[in-house]
Amino acid sequence: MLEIRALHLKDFGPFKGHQTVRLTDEDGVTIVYGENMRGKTSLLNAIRFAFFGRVLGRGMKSTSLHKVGNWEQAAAGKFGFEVQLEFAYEDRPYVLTRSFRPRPGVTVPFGDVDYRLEHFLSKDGVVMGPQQGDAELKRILPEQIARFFLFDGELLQEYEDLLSSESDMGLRISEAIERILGVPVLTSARATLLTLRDKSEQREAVAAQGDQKTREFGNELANLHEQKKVLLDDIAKQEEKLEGRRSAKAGLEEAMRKKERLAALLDKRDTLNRQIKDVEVRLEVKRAELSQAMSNAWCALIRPSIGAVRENLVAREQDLQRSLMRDDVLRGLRLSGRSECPACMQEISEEARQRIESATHIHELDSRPARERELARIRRQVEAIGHFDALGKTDALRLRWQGVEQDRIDLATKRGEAEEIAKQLESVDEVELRQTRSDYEGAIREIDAIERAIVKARGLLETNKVDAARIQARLDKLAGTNLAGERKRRELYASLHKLFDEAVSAYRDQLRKQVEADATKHFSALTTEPEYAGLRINASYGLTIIHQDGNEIPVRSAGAEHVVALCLMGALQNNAPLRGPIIIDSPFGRLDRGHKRNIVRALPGMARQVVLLVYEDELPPDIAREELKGSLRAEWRLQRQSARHTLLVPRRD
Amino acid sequence: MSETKEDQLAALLATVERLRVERYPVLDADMVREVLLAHADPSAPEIDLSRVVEKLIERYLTGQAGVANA
Repeated sequence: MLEIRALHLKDFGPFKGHQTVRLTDEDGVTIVYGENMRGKTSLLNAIRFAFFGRVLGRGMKSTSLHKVGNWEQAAAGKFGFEVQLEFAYEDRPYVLTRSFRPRPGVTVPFGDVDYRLEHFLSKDGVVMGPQQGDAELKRILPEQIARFFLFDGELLQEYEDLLSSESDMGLRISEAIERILGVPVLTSARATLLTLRDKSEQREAVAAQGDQKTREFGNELANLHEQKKVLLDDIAKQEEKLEGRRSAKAGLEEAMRKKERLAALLDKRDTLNRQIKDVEVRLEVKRAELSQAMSNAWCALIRPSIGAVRENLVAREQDLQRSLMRDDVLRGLRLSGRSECPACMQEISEEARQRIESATHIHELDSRPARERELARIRRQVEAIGHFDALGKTDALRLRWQGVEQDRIDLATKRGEAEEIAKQLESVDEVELRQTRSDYEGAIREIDAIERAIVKARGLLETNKVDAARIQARLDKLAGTNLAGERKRRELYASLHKLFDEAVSAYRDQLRKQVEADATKHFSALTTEPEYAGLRINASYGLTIIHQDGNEIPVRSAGAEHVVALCLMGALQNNAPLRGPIIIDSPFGRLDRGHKRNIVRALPGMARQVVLLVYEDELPPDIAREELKGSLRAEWRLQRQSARHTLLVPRRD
Repeated sequence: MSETKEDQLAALLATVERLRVERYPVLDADMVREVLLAHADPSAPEIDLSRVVEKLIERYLTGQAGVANA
């Protein structure tokens, strides 16, 4: 059992000067509250640095240690840092000190090469030798399994990769899980026995070559063993290459996951830039149209006066038209001599006829040509005014203005968005981001080619195995000098290898059942969904939620993923002999209040020592106190002194 | 559930022993146990493990031969 007692920091990250967090030796939960950028992740990294001499940045990549020292101290010419971890393991006290200081003679370091990384471990107050100390540290907390003790809540979703047999990250995590559960003891024994069996087979073939009766088979077997050796060497090289590429792919997967948001921002920025160009072109066209329309805009100013003139002219036009029409009707009546009106069909009296006679005569003599000229002139004027009237219509103009304004607003909004994204992408190496994608695709292609080569070599190996077994069977029927002893040895190795091979499968099955049962127990306590019955484990230790009707829940939310990952953590703690503290950075970011409460309540049962690094909105202190009650051992606060200086203080409110 | 490394080792030994009894009763229980224990130290180099197991097997075969001759 590993228990942390105290963490001493000297100029590590924002923790300027010498600061200490002490943890009680009683079982329970310690909470460190800190807002963003106050140093929660730095605390997790300080523990990681103490154990492994590394600090992880975004994408779980090692960060330059030169950048880890306190900036205020560095600005004052004081470089480097030190972390000291007091812990107990199997009830023995240890002190691990690791420092990163400028090399002698270096006054202003520029990179990691200008520093010296040193560490020493003391046990029971006695400093251990370097090799002894390193071996002890590997025994206490191997780096490969550190992820189960020190973890970033933001990375919990990577455990979903365990559900996919395709994922290299999943493969790595399941290897780490098997390591913590003790499977390598069996796989290592199996590998040793396989090597020894093969060696024994080769020795038997050589022995057979030395005897006249068995020489022919011995020669054939020796050739097959030689061929097998070449094939195995080839597979080993390819697998080593594959491991390297898979490791690179896993790193790239992680980097892509971390950069997913940035990649999305890049895509959005590219789309916005295309849209901005389109709007700019459209706006140019609209502005030209508006400019054209504006050249007649003055018409709008005289439109009211012109309207009045037009009304008068139209009234006069109508009068003249009526007058001329009346003349035409009356003249028609006079000349036709009809006794009834052609409009109302009524009889025309003699008196009326007299009046028509007189009126038409006077008009004919009088002003008809002048009235006709006036009418033509007025019509020309009305037409001309109508043209001005159309040009001065403000509605159309307003619509054009609005169109231009709308596009200008659209353009400004899009430019604003693009600028905002550009700011967010300012520190991003775009070329690197695109390179990551391209490297990832390249790694997939390489892995595919290597895997195909391995499959081919394995096929040849299988043929070799069948051929060797056939010849071995024939050789077994013959007796020869020195053959019996080697044959017995070979059979013994073969049986032992088979036994351990079967033991690997049996032990894995057993472990999976235990992990599934324990994870389900945790899940029942954590989930807020009453219809969920439990979790089902796959061959890679991936866990799927099971509905009470027995069906799997195929898709789960980020929050559910988070809960399932915590259940796996709890189950591994139950089943691994390497018991240690769980130190989680931001574990509740994606969880609702109900799940937060359930998890906080369940945490003391998952590990004896739990340290939560949270911000208050993520886990309000009242909820933590209410749910943890007596299991809440201490509360700390990361108190801002400046942007580059945080104080670790016990929380007393 | 493995509380300690000893518990885990006991679980591993139990699994192997169960299989030995069920499927390979001719294999010697102590020899199998020793092969497993030799691999329980994660810091042991692979080459050393081969030597250790080879010696174990030789000792066992010599012992068997001794019994047969007696």
